[in-house]
Amino acid sequence: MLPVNGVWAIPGVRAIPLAGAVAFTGAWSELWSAAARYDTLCTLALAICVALGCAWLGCFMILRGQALLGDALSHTVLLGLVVAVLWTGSLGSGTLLLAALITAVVTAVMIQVVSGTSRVKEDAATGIVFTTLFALGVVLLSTLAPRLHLDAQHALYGNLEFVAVGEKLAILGMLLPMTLVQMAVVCLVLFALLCLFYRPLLVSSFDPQLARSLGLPVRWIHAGLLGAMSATVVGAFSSVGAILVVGLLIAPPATGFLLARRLPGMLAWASVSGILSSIIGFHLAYVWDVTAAGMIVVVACCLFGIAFLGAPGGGLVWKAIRRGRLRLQMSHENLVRTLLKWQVSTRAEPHNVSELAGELGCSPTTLGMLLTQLRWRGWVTNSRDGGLRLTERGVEEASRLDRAHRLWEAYLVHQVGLPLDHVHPSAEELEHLLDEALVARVDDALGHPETDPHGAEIPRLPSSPDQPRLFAMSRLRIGDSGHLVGLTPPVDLPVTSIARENAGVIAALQLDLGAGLSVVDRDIGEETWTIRLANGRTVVIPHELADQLLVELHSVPGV
Amino acid sequence: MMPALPMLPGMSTLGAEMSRFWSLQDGSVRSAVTGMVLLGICCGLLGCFIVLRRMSLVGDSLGHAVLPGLCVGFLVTWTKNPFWLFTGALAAALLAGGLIAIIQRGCRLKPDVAMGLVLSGFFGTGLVLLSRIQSDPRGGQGGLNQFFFGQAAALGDADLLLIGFVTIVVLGCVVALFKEWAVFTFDEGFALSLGIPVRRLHYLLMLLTAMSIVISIQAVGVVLLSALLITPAATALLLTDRLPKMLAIAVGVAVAGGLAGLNLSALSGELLVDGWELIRSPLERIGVSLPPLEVATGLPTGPAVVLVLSTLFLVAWTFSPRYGLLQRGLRRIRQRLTPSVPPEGG
Repeated sequence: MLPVNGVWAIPGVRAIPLAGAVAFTGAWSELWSAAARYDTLCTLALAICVALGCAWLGCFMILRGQALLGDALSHTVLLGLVVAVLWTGSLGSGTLLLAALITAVVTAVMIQVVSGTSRVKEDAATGIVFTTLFALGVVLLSTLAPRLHLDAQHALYGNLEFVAVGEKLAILGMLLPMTLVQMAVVCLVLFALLCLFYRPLLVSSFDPQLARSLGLPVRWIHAGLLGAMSATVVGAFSSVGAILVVGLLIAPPATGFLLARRLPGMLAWASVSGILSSIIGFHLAYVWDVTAAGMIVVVACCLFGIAFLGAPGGGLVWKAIRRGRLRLQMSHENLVRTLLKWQVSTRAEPHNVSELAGELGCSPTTLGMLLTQLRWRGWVTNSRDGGLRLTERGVEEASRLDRAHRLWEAYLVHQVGLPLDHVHPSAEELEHLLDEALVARVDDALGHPETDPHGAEIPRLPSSPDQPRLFAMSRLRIGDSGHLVGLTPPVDLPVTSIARENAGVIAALQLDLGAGLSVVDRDIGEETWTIRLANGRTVVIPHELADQLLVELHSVPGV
Repeated sequence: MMPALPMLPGMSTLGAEMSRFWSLQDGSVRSAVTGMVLLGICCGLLGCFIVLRRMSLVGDSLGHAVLPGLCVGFLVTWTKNPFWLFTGALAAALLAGGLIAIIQRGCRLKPDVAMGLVLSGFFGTGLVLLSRIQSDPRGGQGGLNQFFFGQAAALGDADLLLIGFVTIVVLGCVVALFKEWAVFTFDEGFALSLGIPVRRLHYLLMLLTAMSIVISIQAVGVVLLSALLITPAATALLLTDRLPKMLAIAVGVAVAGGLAGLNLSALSGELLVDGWELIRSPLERIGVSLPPLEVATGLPTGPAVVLVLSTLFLVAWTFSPRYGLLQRGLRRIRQRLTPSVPPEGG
């Protein structure tokens, strides 16, 4: 399916004209026609060079907490340019570069001096210095405007569209615009420097203290970055203007920051975002007949917005979805627990949703919606007489939660030492958030208690969900009877040597497979189980061993 | 009788232009002066809180961020209707403020990055809209360009009404809630413990800042607007330790700087050329050649005001009786001269 003459042609379906697509593909074919292809390529190449240079430098600036130094520099460079042109009377690139370097250093030094020698803090100092220097530049420019081929607004938003018209330079048989060649050289040099000094840059950006202690010349690295930035700014200035430079110094690196966790990834994402925004922005600007520089910045910021909302893991949308899911899960879980409690205490099934809602303290509509979702999950059904009934899975779920809640309460009282009347709210949260494996460990650490500190019975789990009568001996309670069916490897202690040792113990205890047994006593403190075998012998089993002896109970324990 | 000074070329015209400006007979001069005084009061007061709370960059980013709002406001009627411009700009400023807060809260990026993003994104949008407007014949003569660097002479009656209204609101808020502002500015924790609604005060400050930024656009332009907030307050910070005094000094500096800048920008082109010649010709005689000035129009207001304000800051920075550079230097010399060994028997 390809756009044909600006119309999306779908085989067998009437061609659907789309106004935007028409305009866009129209612009596309115009931009890339044989006559315009050279200009388009040159302009795009320049935009991409600027975007790449800015993206790489911006990454380090953001990490070093100097994002707004770029803002300040790109404004004050105007003054340097104007002075240089006044002084030499020409727009030669060497002079301009030198002037920009000097202005950049002057700006940075002035900010440091003002904030260092007065009570004015660095942010205010930055504001004062850059407005002053920029104002000076504008004043000089507006009083000397007729003589210079520069003007203040042009300096703000550049003139990307006319790059291809400018001065040309022949390289390798190709006639390329001067500005493009300059910017490409800046970009290549920048890339080489980045590769060469990657390690020192990395260390000094993330941990200046460490860099200093390693003997790296932190001050010189900073100065070098500043110099590279001013070279990029001056290369970019005449073609794309100050604001584009600021935008490209900040937006793509910020996007990279959100999408990557490591510096190479951040640099890569920043480059991708810079290139994409150049290409998309350039085309959109052509379609809508607006300034290309501005449009590129807008697209770069939109890309940041997309990353901000949708970045996997950290994006706002994902965070909101995760939070919403958790909240939903929590209300589902709370509802089945309440239903179970209701069933146990009243021995009846609730019929009236509004009555139940009143009991729960939520609106009938909300409750109705939640119940629909629970039916959907198969936790609740309607009983024959129209009441609500928990399904087997619902009961399972509810008792799992009860178990987690009561185990956490026991843990908080016995191990953490919280007073009994303080543990309920914490347990209420823990029961939803932490997983089954952790609950199992808590159970183990507490010696598989039968009741929680409030005296309520803690439901226990069979060792496999398919066989509701199979339990590890440590899960048995006083009065339980069954017969020994085998050994189970410890779930969370994958140490086979213990199993081997215990095999010896089992032999010593003269336990036989299939032997009938019943639990006569438990000692929570000593963590032992006293069992009576069918032949009348009494054996004391330690916790570690009890965890591994698998017992089939004679009856399924009630919940 | 005054002894006759050697009359330099241009002096008489300077005098004539100055007296014409200060006689306030010209209607546009009158409204520009009124506007500047009100803006000075408004920005001087707010600037103190902004500088003390280290929010200086907020002024800069909100200042740039109003541009798209102005363009949309313009597009409503295709004229510079002050009401729509004000509404659009205020909406844009508030939106920008909100976005900065959201970005800061939503991810690990530092606040300066958030501000830079909003600044460039909004300004870029503004430039896009502006270039669209200017390519339309109806918008070509709209004169939106003057919003970059300001043109105080174009202040109309409706603008003045708005400026007056906002100034009264700002003044009212500062006077009525002075104690709360003071505690909130210097010690937020203490303010919280006193039960002062810190968060609401912060939002009020942002709202007032946005409003005062919006009314300053016509006079000083979006690019250099933050200077009107920051520089007078920073100057005052160097001169005093007391908040009421600081507010008074900041207002004084802002008003004085604004008026002087206004006067500078009202001077005609020929006068500037003559003034430049005064500097240029003696230098040329000793061998330094500077290019002659070729200027047809006067200076834009914004840069002129900023330069005057920066000069005032420079003066305060150097000569401040307590914190000035000179004073610091003198103190250091005195310290070095006093013997570091305590006198015997002392």
